[in-house]
Amino acid sequence: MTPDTSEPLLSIEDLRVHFHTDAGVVKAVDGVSWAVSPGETLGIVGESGSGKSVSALAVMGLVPVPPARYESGRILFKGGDLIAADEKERRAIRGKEISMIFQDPLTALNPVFRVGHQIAEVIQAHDRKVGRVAARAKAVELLGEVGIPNPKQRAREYPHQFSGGMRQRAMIAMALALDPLVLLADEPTTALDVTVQAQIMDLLIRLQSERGTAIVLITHDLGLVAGHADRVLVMYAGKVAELGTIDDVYYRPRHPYTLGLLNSLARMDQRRTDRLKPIIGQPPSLIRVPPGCPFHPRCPFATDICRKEMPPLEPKDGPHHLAACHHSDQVALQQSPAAS
Amino acid sequence: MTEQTVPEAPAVGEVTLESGAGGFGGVESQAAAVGGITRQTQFGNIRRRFLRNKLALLGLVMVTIVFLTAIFAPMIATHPPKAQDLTITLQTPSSEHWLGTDELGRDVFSRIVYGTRIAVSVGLASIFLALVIGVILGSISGYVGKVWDTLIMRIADVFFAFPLIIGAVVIILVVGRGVAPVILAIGLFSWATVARLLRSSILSIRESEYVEAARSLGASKWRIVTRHVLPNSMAPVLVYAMVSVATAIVAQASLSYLGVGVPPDVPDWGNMIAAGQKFFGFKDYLWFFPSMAVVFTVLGFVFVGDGMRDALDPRLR
Amino acid sequence: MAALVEVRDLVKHYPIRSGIVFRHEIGAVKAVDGISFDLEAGETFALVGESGCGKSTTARCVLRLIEPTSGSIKFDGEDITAAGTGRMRTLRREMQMIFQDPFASLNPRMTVRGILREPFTIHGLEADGKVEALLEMVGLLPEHASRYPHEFSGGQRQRVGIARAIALDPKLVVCDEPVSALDVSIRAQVLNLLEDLQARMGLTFLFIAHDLSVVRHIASRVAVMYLGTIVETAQTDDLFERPSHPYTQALISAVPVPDPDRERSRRRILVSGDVPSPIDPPSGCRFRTRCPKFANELSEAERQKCIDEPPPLIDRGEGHPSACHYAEAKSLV
Repeated sequence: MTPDTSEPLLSIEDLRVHFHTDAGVVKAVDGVSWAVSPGETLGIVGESGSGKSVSALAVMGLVPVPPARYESGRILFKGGDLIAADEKERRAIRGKEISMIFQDPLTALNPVFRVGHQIAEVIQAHDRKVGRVAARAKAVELLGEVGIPNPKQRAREYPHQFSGGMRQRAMIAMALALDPLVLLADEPTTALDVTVQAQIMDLLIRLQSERGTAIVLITHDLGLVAGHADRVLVMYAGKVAELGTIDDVYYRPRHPYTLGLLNSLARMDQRRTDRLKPIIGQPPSLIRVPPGCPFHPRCPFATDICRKEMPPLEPKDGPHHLAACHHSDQVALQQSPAAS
Repeated sequence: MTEQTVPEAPAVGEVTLESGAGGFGGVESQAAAVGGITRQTQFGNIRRRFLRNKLALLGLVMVTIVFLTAIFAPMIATHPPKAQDLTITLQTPSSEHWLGTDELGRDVFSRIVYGTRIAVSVGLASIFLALVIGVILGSISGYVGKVWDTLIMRIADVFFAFPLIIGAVVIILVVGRGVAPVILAIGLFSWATVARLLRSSILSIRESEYVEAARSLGASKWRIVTRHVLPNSMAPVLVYAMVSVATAIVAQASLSYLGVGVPPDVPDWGNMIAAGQKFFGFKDYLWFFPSMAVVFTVLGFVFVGDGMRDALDPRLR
Repeated sequence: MAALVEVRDLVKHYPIRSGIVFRHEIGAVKAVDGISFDLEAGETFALVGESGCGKSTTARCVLRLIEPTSGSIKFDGEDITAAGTGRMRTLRREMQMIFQDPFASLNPRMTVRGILREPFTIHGLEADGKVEALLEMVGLLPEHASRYPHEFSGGQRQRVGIARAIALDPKLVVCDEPVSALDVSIRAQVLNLLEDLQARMGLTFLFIAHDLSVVRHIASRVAVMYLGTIVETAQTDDLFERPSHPYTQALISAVPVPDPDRERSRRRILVSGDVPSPIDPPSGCRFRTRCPKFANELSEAERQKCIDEPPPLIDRGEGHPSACHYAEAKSLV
């Protein structure tokens, strides 16, 4: 199903979520905007401490409000602002229209209840009219849809009796039980073996094409995004570095961080030619974000202005390919390693 | 790298140090160390968390008061604690005798002040004994394991089976009365919990990667236990020990109350409560003030112990 | 010339005991079930596989951090399988390990100086000046010596772990997933550092990994493990360009590559189901329960062979040994 990029289903606009801790203010999300349309997959790429998970958690309303604070911005879903909405409205949406899967399935699966029961519970929570028997039957059906063999028997088992891959499938079943419009997937396969990862991603793509769900795939794995996303957003230190289609970003990167990341990756599909080209230094703490462009201490193109002024996120290569860099033109002169 | 729900706020005081990138010989240049940030140790973090806890601070003050009273007893007491004066027996509190006199004319206040000495010395000594026995046996049990573990834990079970007071009474009836037997008795019936706590702490630390690293370096068992395992396993034990001092003090007072503790002329809260019992209802000051002394001391240690546990808690991963 | 490390028929079984009073063995977790390989001096030999394949257990058996159930290990010509504690302690100067988790592999109560001095203290060697030299070799600054592990980032802690491993100038360094727990932008730094140290000190690496991209970059030879056995082994480029065991093929086709065109046009070989339990591995070829070749391409008679006979690890004409009766090289990248 080709993505319908005309009307975004879910978007966040200039979102700022800051955590006020003893050590200081953690600016986890600091002026981030993204949007996803029905049927498309948006990949959000970033390393630990980039804030990538927090924006998704904010959409779900799962960010603990003290110590966090929504400093500014909007989360628009079907025309309404989720931040402004009250808890009742948000709960109606959470799980039903927007749902989330996590890296650790045991976050979503309660170890003391049977799997089938938990899925049935989600179904009934959003629709009082559905009876227990019907909910259980639907749960079994869902488990079958996500590729769990013997679903009827498996529904009566506990999470610990499932393998890692199966738990992930069960979590997906739970997330898709009510046919949500948007699925937020936060590192869904990071803890899985690579062959199982391939199975799970295959499942997600199949379900997406059947149901037209929009998927927001949050990960640190650039390969995963290249294979499964339509557009990608690169985050660094709580801000957006680059945004565009995967071809745009991988073959014509306009932000030094993106370029640096692509250059530093070891490639499985190529003979080794030379040493890896790392990015120097390390990702900053979100409490002490460097002034100006947060990437400047590590950037080979950095000049004076980079240390003082945060570059705006602007189109650099066509209206849909944006980057936040004062020197995108210089980055454009470098060849992306992927374009070989 | 696992992504956390709350973004990784560095541990309080953590400095993200920047350093050279690719090692020597690389084209990459050295990034300057992040300047101007005071480095803080883990100890500093713990201490700060502790001091921020009001109750813990209060406890610390209370315990300090008790300690200072014990040390400076001769200067604080108004009269010699054992001095009898049968002409002024059972006097209610007055300006001369702040908390009154007992049935032998002794000054209650001074006896309470000197009572801190017994309480503190017995409390600390008995728990120290329990720690020595418990740490040694607990370490062997936890680290060496196998037969030793079973043996030690079964012996500990025997000691667990006896309530502290009953066991202590038995020991004292066998050994005789006095301060040392009380210390021995309380210590003997407290080591088992120490051993058990340490053992479970060690069982988890034993599997840590840094312990495995020490083994791969060729470290001896002794070195691993003393430098790697114990320093990281002692936290719960120390918390327990602090609270145990409170228990020991109560135990000691109880033993005296039962008449099997320190000899009756020694100024001791338990003795005083036992003696004052006879005058319940009309000379209540005789048992009331010693009881308050016990409560005050015990609460102080408990608050400190709780504060320690809370301060250490985030570290107990 | 003899290889630096020779492993023959290595087996590690973890017995499962049952019973309350009299505990008897009712089965065993066959973590490593008969593997053999050589490690030549100066090379980087990678053991790859997914969780539960036995690669970490193998590495620890080579260092005798775990005692093998049976089999033999020779280090520098000497049989160390049954070596006594004293001999092992001396030997440990020659064989060291870098651990996976930079947050767990350093004692939180020791300073960097304490951590780096320890190897010397244990072996009764002079440590003066060595700490600063080691820090410089791994790209850290001398003032870092007085700090505690929690004050550093993951990448820096890993550098400390590397410094500790090379402190005594070992011959062999086992790297157990040294970059898996690090941020992507830091991995390249640490991998370059490992290579530089190898060149400078003449180290031999036994590299344990599940990330095939890293393995392709850094290893000269690779062995693929599945459920306690080696299913294929080859020179690196040979393995990636002409994998002949169906598991290797599935593994390679599952690894995503940061290149959208490649990803779109790739041939995917999917395995079905989950890894069987190592307590009761399938008879004959262990991979047959998930093997796409078994499921789709073989005749009934051929399948029977897979069920009955465990395939030996030999060269069947594809250029390198693989453990499949019907090994057939496929080009997947």
